[in-house]
Amino acid sequence: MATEAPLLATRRKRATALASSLTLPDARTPGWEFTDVKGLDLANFGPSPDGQASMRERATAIFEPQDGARQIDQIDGLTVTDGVQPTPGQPLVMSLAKAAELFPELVEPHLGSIVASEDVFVANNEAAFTAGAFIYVPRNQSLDVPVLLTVIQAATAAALNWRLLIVLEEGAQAEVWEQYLSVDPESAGLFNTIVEIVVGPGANLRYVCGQSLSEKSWIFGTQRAEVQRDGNLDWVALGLGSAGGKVRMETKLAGAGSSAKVTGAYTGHGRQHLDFDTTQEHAAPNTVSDLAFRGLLNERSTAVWRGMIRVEPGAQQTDAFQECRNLLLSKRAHADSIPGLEIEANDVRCTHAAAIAQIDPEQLFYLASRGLPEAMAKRLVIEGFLQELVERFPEGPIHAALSTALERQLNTVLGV
Amino acid sequence: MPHLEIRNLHVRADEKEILRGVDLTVGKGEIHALMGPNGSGKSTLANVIMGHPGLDVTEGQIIFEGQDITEAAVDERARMGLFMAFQYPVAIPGVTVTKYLRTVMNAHRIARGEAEISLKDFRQTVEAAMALTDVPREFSTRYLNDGFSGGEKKRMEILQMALQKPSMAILDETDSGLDIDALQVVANGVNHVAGPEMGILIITHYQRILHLVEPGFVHVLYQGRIVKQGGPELVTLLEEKGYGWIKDEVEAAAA
Ligand SMILES: Nc1ncnc2c1ncn2[C@@H]1O[C@H](COP(=O)(O)OP(=O)(O)OP(=O)(O)O)[C@@H](O)[C@H]1O
Ligand SMILES: [Mg+2]
Repeated sequence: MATEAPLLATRRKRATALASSLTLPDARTPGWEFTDVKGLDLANFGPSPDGQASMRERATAIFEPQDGARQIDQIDGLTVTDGVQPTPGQPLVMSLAKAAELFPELVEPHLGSIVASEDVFVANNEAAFTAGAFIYVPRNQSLDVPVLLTVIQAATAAALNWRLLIVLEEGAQAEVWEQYLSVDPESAGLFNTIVEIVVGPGANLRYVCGQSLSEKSWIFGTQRAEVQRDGNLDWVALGLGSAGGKVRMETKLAGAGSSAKVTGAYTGHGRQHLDFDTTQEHAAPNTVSDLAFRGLLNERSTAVWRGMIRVEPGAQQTDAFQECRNLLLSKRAHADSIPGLEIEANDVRCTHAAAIAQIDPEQLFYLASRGLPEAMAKRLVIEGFLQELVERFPEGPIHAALSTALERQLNTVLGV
Repeated sequence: MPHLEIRNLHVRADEKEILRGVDLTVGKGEIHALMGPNGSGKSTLANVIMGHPGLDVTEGQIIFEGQDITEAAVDERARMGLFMAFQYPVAIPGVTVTKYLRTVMNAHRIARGEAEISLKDFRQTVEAAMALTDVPREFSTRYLNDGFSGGEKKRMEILQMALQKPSMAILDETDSGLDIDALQVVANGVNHVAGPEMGILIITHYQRILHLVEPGFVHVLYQGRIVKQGGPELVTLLEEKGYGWIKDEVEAAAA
């Protein structure tokens, strides 16, 4: 990293100092009551080694690249870009390190401005992140092909700090897909991600992020988006892998008339623990947020979803919705759903729902009475449960990708 | 050989004895009606024949086509040719009617060692059944029974019966809550599948359906027992006099 851009070098230095003064959260740290990191010793995870491009093939992908997709692969410490030369004034899909060097005027105003919280994971990420990715779309332009970012942890006992910055200027459009994968299902890595998203005035972003890390890995994530006036964000999250950790997904509706739709699905089996902490922050009038999560938990897996709708004073005519539904497939699986509202404006509509249920035996009896063996009947009910989430999207790439990913994952969760 | 035979059946649910020695025989080609006041145990009888896991058979047997199925798995009973139209069909959110019907059809075919049904055959078969039961085509893409009106659910049950072609069908108040046209549709559906190889047991509170689907035998269930059996004339009698006289008879006999 000898030639690192000064912009990054300065930030790293500060973060390194900060990181050494911060400690891991414990059960008394707000937000961490349901996620235990006692078993985590950061010292056990060294820096990511130089990666090998050949490992790309060995990781099972969640998403396949769509036709013509722009791609960046990160394999441990190795960044592989698609070789398209970045051109000033055009949309950029490039490594963040490179962008900090070539286009500091585009990176500097935003990097670290969206995710500004200072916990140990954020600081560690800032101190040590690998090349990362930068997606930039200038005013009124659109990235006419989707972007696929594939981040692969091949090494075991290493920390991979990944960082993504997406900036859409006024009236811009883009679709960014991201997947976090492991090569070896037995490897125990630490995956630490920060995603910062700026959706400019009237801009439109679809952002899809799936993780299917090894079931022995930790994942920590802070992902935050700011949507400006009349901007629109369509955010999809899939949590399939990992052993434990916590992912924050925060949306700030910063400008009047902005909107965000957030859709999440998670699955667990074995002893997996998943934690999604979502925030819908309404900071301007006439803003709309619509968040729906569904979780499927088998065996002894556990999950917690905590969702906060925050409506700031002056954010009148806010329309906010959040729901989280869990289907427990075993008696020992457990889910917590904790919706929350903090409302400081008076002319708002905020609704929330949370449900934790097992498959209704009357449904199984009905299906069995028509000749379906128990396993088939169960699967049908579960598929229906997930399908209702997939149906938030019209027929198209998202609909198809979610169906495929969840159908495949169902085999893993059910052990078939 | 009787088609379906219930012998001295005692059934409990949550420690409560609901059926207290039911005997009932349905032969091939016969249509039977089962009547009785609310709470007398009609649905319980239908459910236990189908194998509801919440019901405990403490005594007696259920014999179907010569086999004792008292302990058989629910799906096995269905694949042997038993069908029950539910009094309250259950919704399966997220599962479209098309997906559901295909899954069921293929489960039966796979169990028989046949290949899965082709898309074309499936479409033709389902379209014919939809026409028969007056279920609009748009229902193919709706989630099964989810948000269906009472009458729509009942027609969907008959549609499934028509597709499944069971050899023994139990209809639990399929005629309740239907308008006159829908009642006719349900009756047509039943008459369509009925035949010399099939047994039908219709649970109902009303004469109306029994004019359209004519039963040869009528049974009255009261407090978990069949207390009266007869021909179609019994229906008229019940419609005129209600159940009071039956209650009196039972109490007189007990005294
Ligand atoms: N799981 C159960 N636990 C306790 N009681 C039950 C259970 N299931 C049914 N019962 C009771 O058994 C009795 C018979 O119920 P059932 O549903 O069989 O009546 P029915 O004859 O079908 O009535 P209706 O004409 O109203 O449909 C009722 O008193 C009912 O409350
Ligand atoms: Mg009943």
